[in-house]
Amino acid sequence: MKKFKLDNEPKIETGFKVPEEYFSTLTDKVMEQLPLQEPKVIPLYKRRPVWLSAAAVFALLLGISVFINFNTKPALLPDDNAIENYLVYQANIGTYELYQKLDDDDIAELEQSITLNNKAIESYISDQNNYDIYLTE
Amino acid sequence: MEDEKAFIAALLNPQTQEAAFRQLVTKYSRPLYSHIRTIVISHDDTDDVLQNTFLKIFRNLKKFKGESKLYSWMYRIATNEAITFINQRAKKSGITNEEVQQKAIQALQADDYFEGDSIQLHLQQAVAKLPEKQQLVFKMKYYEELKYEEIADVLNTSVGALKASYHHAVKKIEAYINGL
Repeated sequence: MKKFKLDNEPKIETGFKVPEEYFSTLTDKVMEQLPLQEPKVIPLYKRRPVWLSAAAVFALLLGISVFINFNTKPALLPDDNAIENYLVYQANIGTYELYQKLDDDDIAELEQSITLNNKAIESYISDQNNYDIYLTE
Repeated sequence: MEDEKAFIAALLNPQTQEAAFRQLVTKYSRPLYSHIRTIVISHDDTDDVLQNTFLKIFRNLKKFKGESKLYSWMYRIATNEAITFINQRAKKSGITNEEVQQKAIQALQADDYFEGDSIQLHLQQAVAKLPEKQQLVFKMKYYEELKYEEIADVLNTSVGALKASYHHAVKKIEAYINGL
């Protein structure tokens, strides 16, 4: 058998085959993966629509505050009976503490509500034992 | 050379970069594919390595100093990527680089994308038994038909050393095939 000598042989190719269409699709495949130039950063003040965004935010805030104002119910205050009942059960609030809190208007209002007649005076005096001394004299 | 300078300038200019790089991929995909394929052998692995090579080329364009030719620089990146791929596969499988290549050659017979006859297969087997440097020199000189000066530029070595490597490689290949 003849000795193999590379230079005496016709060129021996690699024998590798490439799938059809491989090279025609490769370029696009590669281009898709490239980190191409990132978008430039434009300073905020140079962007025209910035005033538009500011106006939109302002309008939104205004809308929200109006909505809240219209939809907020005033806090429910307890009626006079409830307050009276509450005060009755508060051992540390007595007559003294109460009249300390009264102002001139309150007193004037109270005076108007007082009805003085003989029957009321008689009833009051009869409840107060310490007036007996004046009556008997 | 002036053309190459203008082309490199187009690659670095953000306005022309995309079109220029598209041109580069179209022009160099075949030679770089062939180069990588002779190292990693299978088509699928070559596809992965080639795409990584182009990405690396793109990312490093700014670092290209123009000291060597653009294609030599790209060949160097492709060679490094292919060898890194073999190293990683060897490490992952717990075998040597030579064993990785032997396995790839053994798989060739069943590969849909290999249509070589017996002498082509024997040559592949013989080349895979060479030391890494001799393999590279032989593949670039014999299969890819590059000039010694071009190979020297890519592998950063002297023409004399390359000639000696090629001569040794051919002797070993002939000995292998004659011993079959």
